[in-house]
Amino acid sequence: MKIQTRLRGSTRHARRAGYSLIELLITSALFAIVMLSAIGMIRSGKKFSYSALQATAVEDLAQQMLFRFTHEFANASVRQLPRAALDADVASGATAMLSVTSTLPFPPQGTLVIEPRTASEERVSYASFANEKQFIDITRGQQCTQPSDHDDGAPVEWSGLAIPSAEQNNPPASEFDGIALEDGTPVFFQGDGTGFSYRVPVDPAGGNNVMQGDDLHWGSIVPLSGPTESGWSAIYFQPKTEFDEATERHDLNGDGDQLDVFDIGQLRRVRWDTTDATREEDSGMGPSIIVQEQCNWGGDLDADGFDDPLFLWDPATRLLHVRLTLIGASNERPIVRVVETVMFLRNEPEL
Amino acid sequence: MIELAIAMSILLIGVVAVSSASARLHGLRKSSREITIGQNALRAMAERIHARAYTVAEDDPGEWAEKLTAIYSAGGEFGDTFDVRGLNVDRGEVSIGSLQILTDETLTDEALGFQIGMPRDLNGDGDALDTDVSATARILPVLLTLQWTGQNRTSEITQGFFVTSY
Repeated sequence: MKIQTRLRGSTRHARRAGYSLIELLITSALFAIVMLSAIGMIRSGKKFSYSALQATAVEDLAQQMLFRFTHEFANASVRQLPRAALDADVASGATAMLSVTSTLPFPPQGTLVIEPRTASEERVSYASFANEKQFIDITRGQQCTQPSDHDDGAPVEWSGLAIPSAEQNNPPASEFDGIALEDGTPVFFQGDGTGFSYRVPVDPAGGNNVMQGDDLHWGSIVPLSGPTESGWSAIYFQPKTEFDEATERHDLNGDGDQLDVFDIGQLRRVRWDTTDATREEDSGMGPSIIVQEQCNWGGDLDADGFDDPLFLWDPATRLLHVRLTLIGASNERPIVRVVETVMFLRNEPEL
Repeated sequence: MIELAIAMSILLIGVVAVSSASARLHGLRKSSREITIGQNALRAMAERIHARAYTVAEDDPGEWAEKLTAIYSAGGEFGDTFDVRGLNVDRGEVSIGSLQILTDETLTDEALGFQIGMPRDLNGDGDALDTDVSATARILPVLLTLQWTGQNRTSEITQGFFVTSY
């Protein structure tokens, strides 16, 4: 009897403890689904976090750059506009140098616009000065313009400068390069606004007294020269790479097409001694993440119908508007961020 | 089977926790960006007011305070409100930013709810007892306030500063 009971009990126990093949399959399938879902969600979460951190990094960089500019321009003043005139005829084939009335407020490298806002407009890049009247290492016909003949006396501008046009009430096309939105009001302006040429108070003796009677000593701190009244400073945009919407299959400026090409570059600060071209310091103001549309620097970057110059300075109000459009990557997709600020340059300009 | 169910539950809790943390991170990032936009907008507006104060002082130094307060009062040339691109207007409000130029020397920081250093002699007469210095002020306190609907809540920041007649 005892034996029988044991045997029955053992049989019953064996039936209870085992799994059928179907049960095992269902369990395994469920486990696999849960595991795959978990892996998928963790991956998605990782991507999401990575994307959020990337976006934050770009925004932080943008903010840091704004603070650097605020610090840089706190005491700055425009002492002379980087505008001049040709002092000799220039043939379309001339590539040796460009002679102008004065190179004084022009940075040691950059882009010149000859006969701006006319049918003969030409952009010429230069890499240094020969003296106070000559740009050398020039490249003609830049940024979608063609080399052409220019007469003695033709106006020359540094393309970095952007200031409001004198005429704001329906000006003719020859009076403006773009329209920016300033404090809710459209403002016609001249120039590309990719830079800013300025001076700061200095003590030529190397001390802390920048006063000169009721005025200030104006200049810049230049390596080898130190604080000097012959010093000058400028911020300029230097393109490094390009972003082609068609190649990247991404509408970067949100204008509804993928046809635009953008220069991605860096804002750099250059300080130089106007009496000695070899004394110069050129340093980056941040990473190479600044966006400008190719052949249309200072143009609209957010499809709001208004242009977005990096720097727009109004001599009448002394307000300098800094708009930075920056590009970063998030999950291998570009992200664009815009940061802007306005600075009231308290020191009086001298134009 | 029970062990498997427990393991799956723990796994699910972990996954939900990770997702929730990611969502929170995203929310904080957006909130931080909104605050940055707001702070930049306040700084820019303050600079614009300084610039306007300077031009008014240049054009008409005798009526500096009167003209400046008129420009930035309701119905004035600029008005007492402004918008900020990138922020959403709070429900029930017509604008994101508001500005207030104070012309009462006797106001206190406690009454204003902001530490700006009031009461203070604004017209240079040696006391801080005048309740209306809009015609005679040499310096004026300005309060800028932004209020917007951000990540699931209303956010507000205020900035105070002084403009001088240069």
